[in-house]
Amino acid sequence: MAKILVVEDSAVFRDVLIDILETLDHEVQGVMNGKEALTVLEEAHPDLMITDYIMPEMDGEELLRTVRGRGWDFRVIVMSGGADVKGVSFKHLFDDLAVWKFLDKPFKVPELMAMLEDL
Amino acid sequence: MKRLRIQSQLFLWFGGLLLLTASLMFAYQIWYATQSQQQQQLELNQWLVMTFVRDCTDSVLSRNWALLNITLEEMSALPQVELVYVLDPEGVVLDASDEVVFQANGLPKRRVVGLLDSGTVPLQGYKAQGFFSKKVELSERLQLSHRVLEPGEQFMEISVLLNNRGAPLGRLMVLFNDDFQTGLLREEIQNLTVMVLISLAVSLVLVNYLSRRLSLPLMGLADKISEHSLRWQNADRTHLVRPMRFDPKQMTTYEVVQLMEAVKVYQQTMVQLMEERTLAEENLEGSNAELSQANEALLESQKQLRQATRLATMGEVLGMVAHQWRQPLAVISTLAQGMILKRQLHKLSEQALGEGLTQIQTQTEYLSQTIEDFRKMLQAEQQQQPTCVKTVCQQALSLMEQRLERFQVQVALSFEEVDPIDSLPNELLQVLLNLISNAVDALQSVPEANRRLSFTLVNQDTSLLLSVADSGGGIPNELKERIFEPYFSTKRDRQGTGLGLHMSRMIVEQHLGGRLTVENQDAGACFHIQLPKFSVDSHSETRHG
Repeated sequence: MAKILVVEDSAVFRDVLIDILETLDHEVQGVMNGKEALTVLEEAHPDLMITDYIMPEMDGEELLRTVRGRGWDFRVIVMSGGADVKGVSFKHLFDDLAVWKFLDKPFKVPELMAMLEDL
Repeated sequence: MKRLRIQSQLFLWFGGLLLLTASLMFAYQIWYATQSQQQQQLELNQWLVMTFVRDCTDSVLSRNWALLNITLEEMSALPQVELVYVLDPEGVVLDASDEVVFQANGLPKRRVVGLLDSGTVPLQGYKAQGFFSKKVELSERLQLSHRVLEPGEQFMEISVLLNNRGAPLGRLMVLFNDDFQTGLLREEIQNLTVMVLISLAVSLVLVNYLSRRLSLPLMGLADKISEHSLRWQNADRTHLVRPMRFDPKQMTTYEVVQLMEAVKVYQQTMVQLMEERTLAEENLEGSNAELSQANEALLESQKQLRQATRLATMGEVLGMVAHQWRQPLAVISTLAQGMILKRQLHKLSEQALGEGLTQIQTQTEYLSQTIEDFRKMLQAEQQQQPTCVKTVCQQALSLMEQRLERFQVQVALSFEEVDPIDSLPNELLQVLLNLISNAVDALQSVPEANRRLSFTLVNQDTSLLLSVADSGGGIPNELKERIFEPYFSTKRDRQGTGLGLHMSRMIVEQHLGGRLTVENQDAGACFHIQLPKFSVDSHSETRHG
């Protein structure tokens, strides 16, 4: 049972993901971009934040830089619509941002469950 | 020594030759005339003598000396007769036209014959009929009653035998002078001289004309060669033909020889040039063969480029499909796994199942629609048809909707009402997808608030202008033309194949008959697509042509 914040711009996918995490008895909150996520994070810190990489307003990288910049050190999983969708891996961007895990969409739910068990 | 002009030389040569011939002919004519005159004179004189022979014979036979005297007087009255006398068979003079001569000189009558005998030349005559003709030259002065015969004067003496049935009666002797003959000859020579002079004058005129006629072509030839060689000299080919600078009208034989030399050199030059030309032609043939090979190689590489372009197009489309599909696939996959998980945990309610399946249905319909859109785009429809540019723009924006939304690109549209263009349905669409895709790539480097993409469609006289402008920072000036080259890409480190813009320009220029250009505007690049309007005529031509 963990507190999880889901940051995802696609409402359908966000709802599906929240539904799965709730099914696994986690306490989940969902927002649609980095800005909304920061507002939520001002109030309280989750055990885990799962964020999309490409989002309007504020994307995953910017969000993470702000989070780490403020000294918040909760675990983060970064999702992307395909790590090589633009021909290059973006993972190196997070070398100094302490990303815990990466998830390529579409991912296998057992893979996510295994990650959650490690929490 | 002054050299004579060729015309003068010809005139002199011909004239000289003519004069020589005329002189020879003249001399021969005079000789011939003299000969024939003498013969005619002889015959005439013999005929004269014949007419008096019978009278003389009768007179001697009848011993009628008075009659004989009359006959002799008659004969001597003739202008060509100087002296007539008759001898008996013994050689004694019976009678003479000028008895005075004999008495005055005191000579015996028979001596007369001897006097005239000295220095005689026998003449051809009627010897067989009793004539004897000879040319005589007087050795002494002879005083006649009507004139004096000087020594050295020449006469023709004709004697004829007088006979009575074979019995000799005597001999008639006639001394003819040369005056008549000389007069005739002189007249003939005068006529001949006049004729010769006239014909000589006419001939000289002809010779003059002929020499002009002969020398003119030669002068013309010299003129041409002179002119030509000068031209060659001006063209700095003096080493090939010696320049000939002279007035052809004043040309001398020396210059003709020079001319011949020049023509010889000219001929050699021509041969040389012909050889050079043959060599050049051979080289040209070689070059042609190389060119043809190069052409084949070019065609082959164009074919390969077309193939690569086609593959690149398919690759791009595949990339777009993948991008469009990723999100709905992620939704379906996660949704399905979520339902499986819920069922395992016995938490799957009927309502959740229904909602989940509906959602999956919605997502698969979207997938299906996407694949249908791209399939249509790739479909090879060969028939050109009137195409609405505005519709194609909207279609392209619809296909790229996800990416445009994802990267927060603000799209502005400004369409004038325009006539359709003549196009295969998806060619313009391919171009627009490529331009939009490039624009989205470029826009990622600028802040989200500044990501703008605008479409402007303007009507022009015979064409229409579609401009696609972004705010992605523009293209460095030095690369503005290079970006249309095949395999040139500024995105080599990412997904760029370097064929997108090349393919776009090829479609616009070769298939649509338009132009694709780029310029930098305000904050970014602006691609202009100028397209000819659709016309019924061009359409039917394309179809049947």
